[in-house]
Amino acid sequence: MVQARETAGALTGRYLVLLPEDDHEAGMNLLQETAQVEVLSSVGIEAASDPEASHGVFYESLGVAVLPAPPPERIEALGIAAADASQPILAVEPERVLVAISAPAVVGPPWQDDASETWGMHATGLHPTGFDGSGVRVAILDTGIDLGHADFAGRPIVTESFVPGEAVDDGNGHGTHCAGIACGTRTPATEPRYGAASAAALHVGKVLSNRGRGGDGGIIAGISWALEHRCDVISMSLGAPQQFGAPHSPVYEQIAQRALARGTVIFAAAGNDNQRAAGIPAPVGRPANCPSIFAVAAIDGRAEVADFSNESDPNGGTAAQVDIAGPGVDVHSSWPRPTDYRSISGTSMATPFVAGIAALHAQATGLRGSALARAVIGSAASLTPLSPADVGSGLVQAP
Amino acid sequence: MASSSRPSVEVVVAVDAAQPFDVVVERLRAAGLEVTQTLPVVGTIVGLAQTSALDRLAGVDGASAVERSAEYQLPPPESEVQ
Repeated sequence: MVQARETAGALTGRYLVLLPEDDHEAGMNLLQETAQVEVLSSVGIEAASDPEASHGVFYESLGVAVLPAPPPERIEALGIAAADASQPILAVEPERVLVAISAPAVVGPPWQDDASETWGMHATGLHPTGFDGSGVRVAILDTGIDLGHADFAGRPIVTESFVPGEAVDDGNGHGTHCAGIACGTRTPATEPRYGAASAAALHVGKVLSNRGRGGDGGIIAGISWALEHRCDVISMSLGAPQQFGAPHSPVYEQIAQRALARGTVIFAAAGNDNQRAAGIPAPVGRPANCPSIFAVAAIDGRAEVADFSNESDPNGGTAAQVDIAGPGVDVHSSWPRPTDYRSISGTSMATPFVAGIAALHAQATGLRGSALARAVIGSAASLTPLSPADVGSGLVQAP
Repeated sequence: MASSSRPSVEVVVAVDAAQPFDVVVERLRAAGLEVTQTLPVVGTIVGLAQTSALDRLAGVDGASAVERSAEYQLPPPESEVQ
């Protein structure tokens, strides 16, 4: 399922084509005509990540199409179109290997917590990575944080509360858990280690009350605060359930576009409303269903999608799609004192996992904004045969 | 504006980036929005309004989208799935 790594930077043979944000349709038409290949939207198809596919796949939230090994003359024709500013193809480049897609599995699944690290760290390649998020700013917008927790005490953390009458101290637990997953220390008071970007500059905006409640006004104020603090990555483990076919929020979409333009990527939880075993599906929630907010699904230690993890909405256009998956079942992380640590499940846990690993990619590549999102989503490990409608491009991987 | 009942719902408004932010704030006030937060960095205004005023707010020049604020509620902290 999850395949071995190969030398980063090697070419896959596939090509990436960037289309203009404001006119995907014209770009798609020109692309299919020029490359002479069918290109399908990543929404609602079963095997968008299938490396053997003969068709291309278009990821509208990124504005990027992936083409299966076009012949050289077609690549040349695409290059000519890209060089012509009047044509709706912006750039063409060969896809590079971050995670090999053909080698046999070397490490897991299944993954399990062991004495030194959580299963999610094994599954996402956090153990061998040399990156720790240094120089990257990560914002967790949630229920606050237990600043006196042994694993956070003494660490410089920028905080602000947007909940009237409540300080940033976490009277709930959810926020401390999420902050730990994204940015927990390399040397916790009690092992196993559980945090992704241990040296990132942690910013905690309290937008949900100690009772776990909040509204758009506070959340948007938190996003604005994170942008003012020039955070590179924002993690939002929150969402409101949506109906299939419901439109995304134009207010959040505009905000997310402004964030990307400033170099900030927003990841949000796909939501926990699904009841797969019972056959009662649920689509990606608000605001993760916005095209410019990246929706995170949850998988377990057997590389199966979690029963509760929301899925792409085939009727919701390109907006309501799952973009990527992270470890989100039985996730061990920090919890306010005196409990100190807890293991819980949810797309709320998968989201800071992806956000923390995105910070490592930001450190490793220097990329920000849409380019960073593309690097994170494009380097996920394939979870075939799981559907991209459930897990997007696959399981997030550390650089 | 004289009003006998208090504004009842939170509203979030996206401001058209091509319009001067402060001017749009004043237009929204004039159309019945009790502004609680101005967030120019994200081009958004938060306020309170009567539900009956929402259509009027949506018609304000420079307001590219007007939505009732959604409510978010986490499961209880003791839940296994959050």
